[in-house]
Amino acid sequence: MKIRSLEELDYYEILNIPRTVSPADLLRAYLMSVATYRPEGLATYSLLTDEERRLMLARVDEAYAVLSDPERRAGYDERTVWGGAVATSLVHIRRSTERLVIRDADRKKGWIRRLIGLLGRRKKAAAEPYSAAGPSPAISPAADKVLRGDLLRSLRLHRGMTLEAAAQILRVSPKTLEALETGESGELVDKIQRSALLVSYAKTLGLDIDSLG
Amino acid sequence: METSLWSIGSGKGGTGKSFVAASLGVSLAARGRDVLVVDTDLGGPNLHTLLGVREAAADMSDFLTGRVASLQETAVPTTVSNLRLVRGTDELLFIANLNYLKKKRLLRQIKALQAANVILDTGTGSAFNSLDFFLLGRPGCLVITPDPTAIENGYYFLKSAIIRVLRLYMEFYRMKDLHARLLEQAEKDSRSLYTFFQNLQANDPAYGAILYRALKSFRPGLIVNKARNERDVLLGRAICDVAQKYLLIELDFLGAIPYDERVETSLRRLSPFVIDHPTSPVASALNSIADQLLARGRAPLKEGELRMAGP
Repeated sequence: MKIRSLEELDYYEILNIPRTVSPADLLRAYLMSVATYRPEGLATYSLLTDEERRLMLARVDEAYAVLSDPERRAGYDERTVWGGAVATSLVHIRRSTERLVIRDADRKKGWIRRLIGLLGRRKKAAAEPYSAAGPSPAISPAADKVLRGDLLRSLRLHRGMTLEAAAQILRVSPKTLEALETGESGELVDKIQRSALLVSYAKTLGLDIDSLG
Repeated sequence: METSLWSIGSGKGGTGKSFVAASLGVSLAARGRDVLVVDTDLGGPNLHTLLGVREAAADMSDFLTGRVASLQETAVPTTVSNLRLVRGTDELLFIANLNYLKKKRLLRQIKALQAANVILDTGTGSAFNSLDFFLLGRPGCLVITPDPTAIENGYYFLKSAIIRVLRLYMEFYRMKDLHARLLEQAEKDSRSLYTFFQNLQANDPAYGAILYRALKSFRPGLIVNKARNERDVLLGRAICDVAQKYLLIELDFLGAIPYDERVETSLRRLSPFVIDHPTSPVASALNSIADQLLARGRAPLKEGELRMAGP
């Protein structure tokens, strides 16, 4: 038995996603985590201190920064499979008490990766699942599905940006942006305008929407 | 056929726990399943009111006084076909006299109830009596509403339930001194469970393994009631993530039930809401929760999970 502390959780566990996660689901998980652990967040009310939320958010940001970058993600996967967090501690509290099962599975993956790496095709092979499929339209269906006003609001608060400042960058009235955040913009803007504004808003907050495909 | 036993609990009053218990019962009965709902809310039973049972020939007190030999005999029909009720008692005499042995007997009788599905409406709050009935459920389902007070009491309920689970295992394996150590630590911070297990791992690795498996076997469900928007649904998922990271438990999000003011109207008419509005979003949410619970009962145990013996 080995119970790992929060500090020992890997990036995938921090965001609560499988290792095969798609860019769209990764972004969704990131926004969810920010909404969960932001200060004043309802989900952690009474359980966590501000300091604990701050620490978790820092890890969430770190995890997303690495996993949303195909190259850094490939490097991270390689490291954690080879003698990194996953391979050394092996057992994760939420997964299994069976040491061997996990070790075998991870070693095997590592061997294949390493073999491909030796053949000089590692990068291409590793990057393939995460790469964007050509130029994306202004509002990709994937982005449209992931972006939600309330989650972007959490991200804005997390980034310390006021509603007014964000509205100014987007060249809309704070009232319109607020409606977008609360999901009540039905009367204010039509559906296509709303999606476009969500995408611009996400980009303003530094999210790489184009890579979603 | 094996009986499935679910319990519905809440850390706070007014979350709609009894409504959920009654409605899940109606939802299953409507599928032709033989369902028995049991009101174990000893402080304030009201499940009968939700099911339109004004007067009953028998209730739990008949069993507690020994007038009938088994709890099963106190089951009465409700206005819903296939659905029977073991009505609770609010007679203070019995609650005050519910000593350890009587409670054990009641718990055993509940486990022995004959029906395809048994649903327990457990008492509100984190007192031992409520928790012990809640822990009978496979799973126990915690009902919260999307507001800070319900969430605060919900977390307290989960923490109390975890400590209760660990304590029952400690008693069984006679690890007496550990309980005091756990309680002492539990007051300190949100990471207390982790710290407890860390110390245990260093000092008593064998006990650590047992208690860790006990903790893993406690897999409650979460239901968000009176959800007003998508954000409230996401709140349920978020709480499960937090519970996994900080309380070290698997909390399964079973679903959110939308807010509907007509629930109040049905209640006043003493008529089960799900019967009045079978196609409402509330009814379909409850049906989907029932589906998930049924599916979970059929699923094999997860790795490392024990079929718990119960208190």
